[in-house]
Amino acid sequence: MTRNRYLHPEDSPLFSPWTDPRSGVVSYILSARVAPWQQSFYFTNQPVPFDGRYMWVYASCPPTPFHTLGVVDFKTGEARLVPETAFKEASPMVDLETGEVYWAHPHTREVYRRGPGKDDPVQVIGQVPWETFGGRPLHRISTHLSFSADRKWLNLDIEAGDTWHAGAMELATGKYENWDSFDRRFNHSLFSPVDPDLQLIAQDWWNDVKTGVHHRYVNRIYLLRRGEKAQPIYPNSERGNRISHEWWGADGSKVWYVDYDLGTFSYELASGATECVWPGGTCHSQCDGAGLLLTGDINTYKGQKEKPVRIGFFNRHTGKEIDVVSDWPVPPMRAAVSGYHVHGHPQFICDGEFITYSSTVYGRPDVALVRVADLVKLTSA
Amino acid sequence: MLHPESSPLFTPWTDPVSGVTSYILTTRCAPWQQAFYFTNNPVTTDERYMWLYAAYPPSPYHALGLVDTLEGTVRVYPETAFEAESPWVDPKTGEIFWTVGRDILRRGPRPEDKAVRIGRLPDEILQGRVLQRVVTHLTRSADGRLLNIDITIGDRFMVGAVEIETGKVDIWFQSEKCLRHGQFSPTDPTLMMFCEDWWRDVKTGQHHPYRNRLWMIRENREMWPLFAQSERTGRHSHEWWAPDGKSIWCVDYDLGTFQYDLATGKHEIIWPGGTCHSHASADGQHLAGDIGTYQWNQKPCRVAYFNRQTGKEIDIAAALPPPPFPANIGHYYHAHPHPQFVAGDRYVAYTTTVNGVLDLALVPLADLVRLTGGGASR
Repeated sequence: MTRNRYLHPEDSPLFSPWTDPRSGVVSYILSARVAPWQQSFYFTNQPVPFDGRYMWVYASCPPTPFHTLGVVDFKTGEARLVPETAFKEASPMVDLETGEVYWAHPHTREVYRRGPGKDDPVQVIGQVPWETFGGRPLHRISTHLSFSADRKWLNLDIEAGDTWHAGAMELATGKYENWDSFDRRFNHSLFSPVDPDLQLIAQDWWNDVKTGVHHRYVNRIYLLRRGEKAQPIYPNSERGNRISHEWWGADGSKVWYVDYDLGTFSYELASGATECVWPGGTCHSQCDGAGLLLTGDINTYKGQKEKPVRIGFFNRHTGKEIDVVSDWPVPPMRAAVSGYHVHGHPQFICDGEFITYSSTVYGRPDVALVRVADLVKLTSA
Repeated sequence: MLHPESSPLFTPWTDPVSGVTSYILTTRCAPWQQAFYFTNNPVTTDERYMWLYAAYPPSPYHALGLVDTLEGTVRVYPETAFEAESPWVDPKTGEIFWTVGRDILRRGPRPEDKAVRIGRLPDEILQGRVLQRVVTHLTRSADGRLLNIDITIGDRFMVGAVEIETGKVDIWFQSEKCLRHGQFSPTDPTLMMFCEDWWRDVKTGQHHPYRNRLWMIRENREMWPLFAQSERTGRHSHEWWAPDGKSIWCVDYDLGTFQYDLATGKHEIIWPGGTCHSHASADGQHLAGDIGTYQWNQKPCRVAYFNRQTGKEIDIAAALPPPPFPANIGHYYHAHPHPQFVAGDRYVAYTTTVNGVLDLALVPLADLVRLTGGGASR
C-alpha cells in the first residue's frame, strides 16, 4: 500500500516522458531544473518521503566538483536549489516521515538537518570531536547517513589520515560514540532498520595518503554491534573482494549485496543462508520491501568498451527481466565526472510505487522515475 | 568606475570609535560575501568589475561573485567553486582564474562566458596520493605566460608553474616541508617568491611549525632564502610583492610590517602596529592591516590604516565582532578582514563582520588620509 499523495509524474509538468527504444519502458525524467546536473540519490537512501510531496536531488554546476541539494515540491510545483547543503560522499538522508534532509561534511566535521521549506533553517546536529581525528585531515565522516531503528542515532564512518572509525552520533545531544576503529578503510555503514545496536559496514579499497599505494579490500561485509568488534558475515569467503554495494532488507533479517561476477545475493543473518537471487544484477542493485522485485545498473564499471551499461528490472515472481534503460550513455570524460559519482543507482521509492535512477540519455545526469506497476506488467506476460 | 559612495549597491557604515565611514556591499548574490585575500586584486583596471568570494554557510565552499559597476548588478557564478584563495583576476579583461580539485580554470566576467579548463595536474604528479591543494593563490608571471602553483600532495609539497597556453605543469622544487603562498614577481617572469608554512602530518596529524618563512626561486631552479634562519624567521608571515618588483613586504607577528629590498637585502620596519595581515599602496606610503586577528576569539579584531607620511594611524573598524557561526569554528571560510588597496589605491577593500555576516566593504583612502592629517591622497 503506497502512502504517496503527491508524486504523479505522468500528469506533472515537472516531468517529461522518455521511452526506451528497445524495451518500450517509459521513464519520466525530471525536467524542472535547479542546476545543470541533477542526480538521484545513492541507492541506499530514499529521496522522497512517504507522502510523495518532496523529492530531494543531488545538484551540481560543473566544473564545480561538489554536490549540493535541490528539492522539488510536488504540491506547489516549485523546484529550488538549496546551496547551503554542500555535501561529500552520498551522505544525504531524508526523514521519510517529515521530508527533512540530513547531510554531513568532513571539512566542517558536522552533521546537519534542514527542512524542505524555502526558509527552513539549517540545524547542526553535532560535530566529530577533536579526539577522534587528532588533527589528521578528515576525508569522510559519513558515506551515507541512516537512522538507528529507534531514530535516536545517526551512523558515521570516519576517515582521518590513515585511521578509520565507525560509530554513531546521538540526535538529541550531538554526542559522537565510537563503536570500533580500523587500520584499513571501512565505510558504507548503515544502521539496521530493526536493531538500534547493529550496523552493517564494509571494507573498501584505498590509496595510502602519503605514497598513493593502492590497497584492495579482502573481505567486504561486516556487522558491527555496539560494544563489540566488527565481525565479517563471511569469515573465510574467497568472494570477499568481489562482493560490494550492500543494503539491508526492509525487515532487517537479510543483508543484500552484489557479487560482481555472480549477481545479486541475499544473506540471512539468523541462518547464514545465502542465495543468488538475480544473476543479472552485478553492479548496483536494490530490491523492494518484500524482496521480490529488483532493479540494478549493470556493466557500470565496464562502460561501453565491452557491453552497454543498462538499468535493469527483475521480477522474481516470473524470473523475467526487462531493461528500464537498455543503453545508458556513459557520461563523457569519465575522469572529469568521477567526483560526481554518475552511476544509475536505481532504487525503489514511495513504498515500491516507483524506481528512481540517474539517467544520462540527454547527455547530462538527470533524475528519472519509472512506475513499478508498468515493469511488473511487462514482465508478467 | 567604482564609486561606492554614490552606488545603491553599497550602504555606508561609520565606525563608532574612529568615525571612519566604510561602504558595505549590501546588495547580495550570496548570504556571505568576502573580499579577496589581500595578495590578489579583485578589481579590474577600468573598475567595471569587482570579484568577490561568495558563500552559503554551512556549505564550506566559496564560489565567485561579481559586481558589475556599469550595469549595477551583483551576481554569483556557482560553477566557480574554488579552493584555498586561488582566484586571480586579469586586471585588463576581468577574466577570473581559479583552481578546484586538480584543475586550473578560467572564465570571463559576462554571464554568457563559459568556464574553460587551462590545465590539470597529471597522474604522474598525483600518483594516487591525496591532493590537498593545487595553489594557495594564483598569480601570473610578468610576461603573462605562466601561473604559479604550490601543490600539497600526500606528504609532498611542490612549487612550480602552469603554462597558460598549453596547460603544461612544471615542478620547480619539491620538499617534505610545507611550501605555500607562491607569488610571481610582478616584473621578472622567471622569479617567484614562496614561503614555508606550518603543516600537519597527513597520517598522524602531528603539527610542524615553519622555521624560515621567505624564499625566492627562479625558473632555472636557483633558490635562496631572504633571511638566514633565526628566531625571527619563524615569526614572519603574510608577504606580498611591491608592484615595482624591487621589494617584498611582510609582517613580523611581534615587530610589525616590514619591507625587504631585494637588491640590497636591507629591511626596515615600516609600521610597528601592523602585526597580522597588512597591505600597502603602490607607492608604499599608505598601509592597512587587520590586527589581533588570531586572537579574535578573545577580543575584537581591528582593521587599521597607517599614514606613513604623518606617522598617524586610525581604525577603519575599531572592534570587529567575531566571525559568525560557522566561520568561528574553523578556517574553511578564512574569514579574516584581509584589507588591501584596490582601484588605483583609491579604496581599501576588506571583509567586515559588523552586520553579523561576512560582508565586503570599501573605505576611501582620501578619507583616511584626511583623518590622519596628511595631504591629498592619490
